[in-house]
Amino acid sequence: MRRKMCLALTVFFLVTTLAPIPATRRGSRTGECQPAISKTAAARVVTVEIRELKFQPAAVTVHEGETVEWKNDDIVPHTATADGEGEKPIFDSGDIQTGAAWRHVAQQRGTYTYSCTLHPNMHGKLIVE
Amino acid sequence: MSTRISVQKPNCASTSNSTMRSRYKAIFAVAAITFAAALHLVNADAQGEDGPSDAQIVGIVLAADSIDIDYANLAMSKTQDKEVKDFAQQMITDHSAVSQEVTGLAGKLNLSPEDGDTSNTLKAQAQQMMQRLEGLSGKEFDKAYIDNEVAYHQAVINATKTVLVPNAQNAKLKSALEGAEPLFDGHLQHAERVQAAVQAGKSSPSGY
Repeated sequence: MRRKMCLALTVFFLVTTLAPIPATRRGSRTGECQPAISKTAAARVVTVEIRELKFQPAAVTVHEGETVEWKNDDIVPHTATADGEGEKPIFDSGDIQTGAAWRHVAQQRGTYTYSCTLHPNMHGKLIVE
Repeated sequence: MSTRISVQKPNCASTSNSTMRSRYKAIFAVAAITFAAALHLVNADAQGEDGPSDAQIVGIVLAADSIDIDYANLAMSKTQDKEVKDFAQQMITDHSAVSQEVTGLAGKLNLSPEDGDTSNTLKAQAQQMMQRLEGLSGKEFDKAYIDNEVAYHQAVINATKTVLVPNAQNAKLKSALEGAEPLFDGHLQHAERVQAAVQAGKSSPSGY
């Protein structure tokens, strides 16, 4: 009888203690291995709007591993293409159609100037810290 | 991350000769004179007591868009050069978008596009240029087309700044014209870049 009482109290204690903890915290060890659902820097997305032939803001600063999104709200397609003489740019969106967006994960620290290859008078700067 | 790699091909300019070069120069000169004349006409309108009305300005912009789309469609059917083809496709896309915006704005402002001396002259001169371009092929066509695009956009930018914007009476129309200037400037810079590639024989055959 006494043993049954102890068992019941233990079960009651466990249920009342663990129930309010959110599912994500209960699996915190697992969560650390899943960056998509953790609150790490990788989840942060910085948006650059493309409007009236301008990248807005013209310069953005992100941390390594963060994502930059270029959203085209203009009436014509644009690109976000890293400047440089090399054959392959560090990043190149290709054509971003009107109303569409393109994302790039900033993986290497540095300061990158970029342009629209379709309208070479459009310039922006991406700083990765 | 998607990428777009521009493949550079070996110099293809070896086929050029002095006859072709002199022909290019003649065509470029004709293009420059044609659009200088068009611009002069537009300026002459502005210098008179009556500059172009808002309805005529809309007519000029739509004519200018339509002309460049016609050139681009011809280029799409003639060129084998990837950069020239990409540029021509962009002109079709961008000028169609501008044309749609202008038409929409004109509708909201109850402005019916009107032809005037300027838009009629632009169309007539464009027809002559089209006939010249239609008679060319290969690198000769590419050179003439992109030279014409450079001259054309220079003329359009000048006309927009010095005639269309100053004469526009409606504030929304004026603002839209001012907003279009960076787009035309972007086209000019892109055309100059393609022109340099074509002149240097650095552009790539279509399909690469």
